[in-house]
Amino acid sequence: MRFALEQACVRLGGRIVLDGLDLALARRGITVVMGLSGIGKTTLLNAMAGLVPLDGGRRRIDGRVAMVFQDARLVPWQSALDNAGFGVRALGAGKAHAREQAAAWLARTGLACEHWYKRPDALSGGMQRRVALARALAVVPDLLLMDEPFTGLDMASCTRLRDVLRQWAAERELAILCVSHDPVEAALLADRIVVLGGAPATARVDLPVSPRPADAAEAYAFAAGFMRHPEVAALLASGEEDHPV
Amino acid sequence: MAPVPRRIVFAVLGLLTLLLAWQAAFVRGGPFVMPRPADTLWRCLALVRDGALWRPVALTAAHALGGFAVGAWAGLLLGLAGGAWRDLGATLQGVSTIALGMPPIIWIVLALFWFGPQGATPVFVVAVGVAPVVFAATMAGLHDTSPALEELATAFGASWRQRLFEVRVPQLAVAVAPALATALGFSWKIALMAEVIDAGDGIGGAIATARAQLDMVDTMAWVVVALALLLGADALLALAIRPAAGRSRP
Ligand SMILES: Nc1ncnc2c1ncn2[C@@H]1O[C@H](COP(=O)(O)OP(=O)(O)O)[C@@H](O)[C@H]1O
Ligand SMILES: [Mg+2]
Repeated sequence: MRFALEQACVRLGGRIVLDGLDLALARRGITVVMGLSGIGKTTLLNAMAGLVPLDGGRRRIDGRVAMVFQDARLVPWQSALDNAGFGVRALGAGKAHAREQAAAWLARTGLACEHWYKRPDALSGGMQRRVALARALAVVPDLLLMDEPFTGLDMASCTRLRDVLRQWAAERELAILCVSHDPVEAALLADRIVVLGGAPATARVDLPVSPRPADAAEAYAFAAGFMRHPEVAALLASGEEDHPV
Repeated sequence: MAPVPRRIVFAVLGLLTLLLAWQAAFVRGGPFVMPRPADTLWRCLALVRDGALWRPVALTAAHALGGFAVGAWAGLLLGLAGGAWRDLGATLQGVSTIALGMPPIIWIVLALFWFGPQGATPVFVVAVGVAPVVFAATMAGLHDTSPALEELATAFGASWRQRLFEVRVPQLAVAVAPALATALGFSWKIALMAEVIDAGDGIGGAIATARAQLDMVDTMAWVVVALALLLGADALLALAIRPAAGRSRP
């Protein structure tokens, strides 16, 4: 185990959002986090990334972390290309080298090159998400944190980005922690699904996706079985008792 | 369809109406109310032809742009200093509020006492009008930094240099640019006003001289020159701002 939160407690604005949360990720593999809105999924990713301090417990991260935020969060005055190179420049690379890396990743995530010199406000939501993903992958992270990266993308784009991620995760040692609301998408992407629940939240369900679905039909079948799991059903149904509205 | 946009047709119509009203004022009131428009326009052309136009235009431009440059720099530097030291910022904010509320004409009267006639009055008055506007925008720009972009920089471990030049400075520029444009717009008007009252040089000085000599044609000719200059400067500014604004909208 290389990336872990142990008994993590996070307090935001006086409210304890996560308490006693344990999550350990292997060096490779894709883990999807599910849970109701407001349960603490973004907070969990922020805690992993070290963007929020822990009020208790430990954070063990050994390697380079990259983040895909829930909003694309592009720098409004930079082109798609320079946005994708933001992380590479943060590693100390020059502008030209950052552009080379960024271009390679924009091509891989499928942003047509006629859009590379446009600013974010001239890009569609889906294109902005590709740029945000390229920005994260371009730093060649050991741990990639993604917050609902496929929301608002059409099915073809989702499939393409999922393939890019799975292929890249297979090529090298890379752990991915990805928030999603869609059990089918989770089945298609993940090796493991964790469901957050409770207030404060902890990891309540932790299931492997095995056997890995070979096609969409199998993914739907897995998702159906997953949703029928009694605890998953209780956690993902809207009326969970101890979750404050 | 005619290739001339409707908007332009009606804008020209508005100008023609104005000219007609001017002509009517001349016909009804005589040459001491308004000079004949045609005479005035000929006088303008004469000013261009004999070169008498250029020195006052250059001086007015120097007053407006010089005052703007001094005021904008002062406002920007004070704004940055006020952003860096909270107490200094609060103090300057108090001064700036008074300066913003002060009518330019009061500054002109005071400046005439301080600098004497035909001195630095126009430049000073423009600078003192521009500085608080730019100062306020700079302070505001420094205060509403985007937490989201700061978090982005933190998440990717950006150096202070990257954070400064890729996030904070552009953010400040977006906040300050509209204030600079507004300030540049009113710089011309304040400079002109100061020149008229100062009866010094520049276009305002020429207007004051013509008025003193009761030369209506000359007065209106210089007014037309001043208007042309103002509108020209506005148009140039709009051209310069438009692409920048499109680029930097968050
Ligand atoms: N900065 C903050 N201050 C106070 N409360 C916060 C803050 N950020 C998030 N929260 C609260 O923490 C809880 C978890 O938020 P979040 O992690 O964004 O949920 P999710 O991503 O699962 O939808 C929510 O109830 C939210 O209102
Ligand atoms: Mg969230």
